[in-house]
Amino acid sequence: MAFNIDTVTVDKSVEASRPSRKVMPGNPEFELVHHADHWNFVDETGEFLPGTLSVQKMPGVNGTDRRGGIGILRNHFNERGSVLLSLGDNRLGKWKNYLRKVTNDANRKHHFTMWENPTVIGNRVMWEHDVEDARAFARHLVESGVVQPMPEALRAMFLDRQNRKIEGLRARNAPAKQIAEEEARYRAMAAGKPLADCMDENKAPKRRGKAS
Amino acid sequence: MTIDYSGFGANLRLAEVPTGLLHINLRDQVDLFALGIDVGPGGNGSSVSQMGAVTLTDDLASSAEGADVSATDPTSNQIQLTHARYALVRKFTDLFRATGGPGQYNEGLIADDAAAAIARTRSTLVTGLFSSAGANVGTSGADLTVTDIYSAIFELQDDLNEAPFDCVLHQAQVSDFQTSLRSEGGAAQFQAPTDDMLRAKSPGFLGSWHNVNFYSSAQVATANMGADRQGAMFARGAFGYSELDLSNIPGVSGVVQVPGAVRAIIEIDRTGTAATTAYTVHYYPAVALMEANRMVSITTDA
Repeated sequence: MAFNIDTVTVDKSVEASRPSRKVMPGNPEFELVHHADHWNFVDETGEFLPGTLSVQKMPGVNGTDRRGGIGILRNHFNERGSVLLSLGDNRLGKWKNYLRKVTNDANRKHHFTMWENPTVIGNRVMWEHDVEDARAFARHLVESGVVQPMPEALRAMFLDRQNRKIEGLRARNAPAKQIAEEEARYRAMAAGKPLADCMDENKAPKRRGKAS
Repeated sequence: MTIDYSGFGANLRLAEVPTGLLHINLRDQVDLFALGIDVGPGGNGSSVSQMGAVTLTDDLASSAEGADVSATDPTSNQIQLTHARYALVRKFTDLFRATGGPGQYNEGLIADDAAAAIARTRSTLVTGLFSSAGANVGTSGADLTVTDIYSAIFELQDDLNEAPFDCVLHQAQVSDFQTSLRSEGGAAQFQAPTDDMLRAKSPGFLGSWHNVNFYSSAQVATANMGADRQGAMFARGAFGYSELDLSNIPGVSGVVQVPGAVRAIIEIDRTGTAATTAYTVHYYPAVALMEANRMVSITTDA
């Protein structure tokens, strides 16, 4: 089923087809926030990229006023060293206005980011996620100075967490393969290398030939 | 000649009759306000209620005999609860109402409908707080594991929170948690709560595991540009809520209280020229994170 997808700044009055509220319920408009200690390790590239959470602009939540103003929340984030990624921020480059919306059959708006592509199949919606572009956006946040590079102290914290995870797996007698992968991830996080490069030494020994 | 259904039914029988039961389709009606602190109705002169918060962590300082001791002030901050209007309208024509029979959808279900809508709204408001949590655990793009749950517990413990904790996850996260729990060994493997947590679950309260009460909610939002869901674990006192008291709305004819939600009303609005009757639910909630360190967000694969 095809339906129109709008950016939040463009509101078309007529839409070709409206998805059911069951598959796309109304949800509030939101902006992304990066907290200073929220980083995600990317196995494929060996880099830490800034993580983001969705700040829903719901009147009545955390001081958000009836017009969706989030001044109080903005102060709260500033005190924590968090970065609110405002939709209209020019520093976001081609990712500016990253929010999309679809109007459902109840005339409610379903909001989602530009990295999510919905396809309605029968009575369910399948979400395709543009991982590469989302990572490019996260990388851009650091390169453009919107988000400060991750301090080395945080790398140590993530390594400590990863170590705790490995210890936990060992304590619970988890499968050797799983422990080996987490150990490789630890080395990858420490060295800033792709996970695959650190898996080599954990390759399973070659199967021996049949005994004659 | 036989008087049969296929021959005479079109004239002497009805095409369809109601069964006497109305099936309510699947819905998520967990009410997460129950996990917060009711800070009172507010509304005494403003739509914004303000609550003071103070940090009393100073201990005594050793002092020399006869020496003056300087004063140490506690640190403080304020929490603001901003009330906002939420409403839902159901509108019936007279023809629809007049043709209704037992077991059919009619205005008699409005009170139940309103109570469920308020519960869902409350849960959406609470899940809207999760992005403000003081810490984050979980791995983007990876399924939630038991380790993530332990990490959240450790974060809350490290910040001096008192157990038991509450944990609200998206249904997809709950399924991932159960999957991880299936392969759990060691101390947790044979515990009754582990077995219980693996059973098929209804939406809402899922059960307790390791002194954490688990809930699922479809209202849990996405994170990391749509790749993940942002659930949360929190201790009591993490968030507070307020609902404006509408009992002083002057004696308007047709205003009734919503059962189970004493701070919401239903207004009945009759439009004679269109022969319609509208039922409008009015509700003015506010919710705020009271202390960021009492909450940990859990972001894992959606």
